[in-house]
Amino acid sequence: MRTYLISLVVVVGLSLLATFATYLIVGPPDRSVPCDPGELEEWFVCLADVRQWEAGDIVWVDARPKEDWEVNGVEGAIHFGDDTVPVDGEEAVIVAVSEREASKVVVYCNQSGCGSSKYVAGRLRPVAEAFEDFQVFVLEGGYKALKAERLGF
Amino acid sequence: MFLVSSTFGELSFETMSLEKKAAQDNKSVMFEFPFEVKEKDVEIKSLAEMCPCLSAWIEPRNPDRSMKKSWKVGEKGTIKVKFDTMSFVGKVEKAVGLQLKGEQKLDYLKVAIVVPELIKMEPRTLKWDQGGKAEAKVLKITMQGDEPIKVLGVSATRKEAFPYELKTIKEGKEYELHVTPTDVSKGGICVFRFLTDAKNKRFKRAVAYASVRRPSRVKPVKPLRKAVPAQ
Repeated sequence: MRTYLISLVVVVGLSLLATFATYLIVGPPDRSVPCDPGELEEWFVCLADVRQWEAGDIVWVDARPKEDWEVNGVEGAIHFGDDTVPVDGEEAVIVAVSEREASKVVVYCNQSGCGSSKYVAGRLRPVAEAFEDFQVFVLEGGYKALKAERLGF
Repeated sequence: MFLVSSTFGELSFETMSLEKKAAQDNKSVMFEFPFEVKEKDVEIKSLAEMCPCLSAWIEPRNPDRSMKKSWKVGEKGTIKVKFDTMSFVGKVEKAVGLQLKGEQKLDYLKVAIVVPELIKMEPRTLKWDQGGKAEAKVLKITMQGDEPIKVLGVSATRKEAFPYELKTIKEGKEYELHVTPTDVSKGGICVFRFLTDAKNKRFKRAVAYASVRRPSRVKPVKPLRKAVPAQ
């Protein structure tokens, strides 16, 4: 039994050493969200491009569940999720765009393909076209891209 | 024919994308994706809904009602997806991820619903240019469904700056909102909120906007990039 335990500790210790050595040599895993502007759907935008815009010119819209927005939504983001009555979401965004004198709205959900940001952008775009002075974009990679940026990936 | 394959087997689907129109009182819409096992036996690792609004399962189930994961060549089954319509209006696209044993990637079954818009506003926004003429403009409200929807009242966030009058053209079907701003020397917006007697909560309220546009903000809307053609 004692021999078994010692063997187990040695094996685990060696495994941890090997893992650490690999981390030092190869570096941390790549958790960045790939984004090729040339491959995007119309009105989708890479985070790197969004960061070229003036921060005060953007209204962020969080299309994730409300509890996620409350915990870690982008500062100042408006919530407009699947469970938001559309007219309430639209009004909140329009008022924010007007008050902040923004010309860009960027919608994000959890990750690419979740569908919610595309739906919300689809609700906002006719209103944006009616106003003619702001545009609505969907963030490629969604919150995953924002998180990767925050963690430095 | 669409194939979801792995080194461990192959599921053959007639389609992996479906779209349905939702009637106004539909709380949910059902989708079915029949499949057949081809080439080799298959082990399903997971079936994951990409939205809390979806419930997905496979039939037939095991005798104990658990999900049947092991499928032999020639067997047929159906992946069923229940789409909760929630508060959606317009077209909504969601997906269910399907993963086979031995595969890292997910394949997606795509479902879309279209919930018709019952209240049409033309235009969505009444616009004046800053420094321009403060002329009267009209917003037309038309109820699209078979059932009449009455406008019970309207309020405005800046009624002193955008005085208005609601006119009934045909009760339950057509209305007009006449707006004449008092001052267009400064930019700003007004939100008009309409209360209706619609049975569906999505349409109990509607909004429209009035906007005095600042000159520097008037610019054409265009996409950031050209659309990527489908391959």
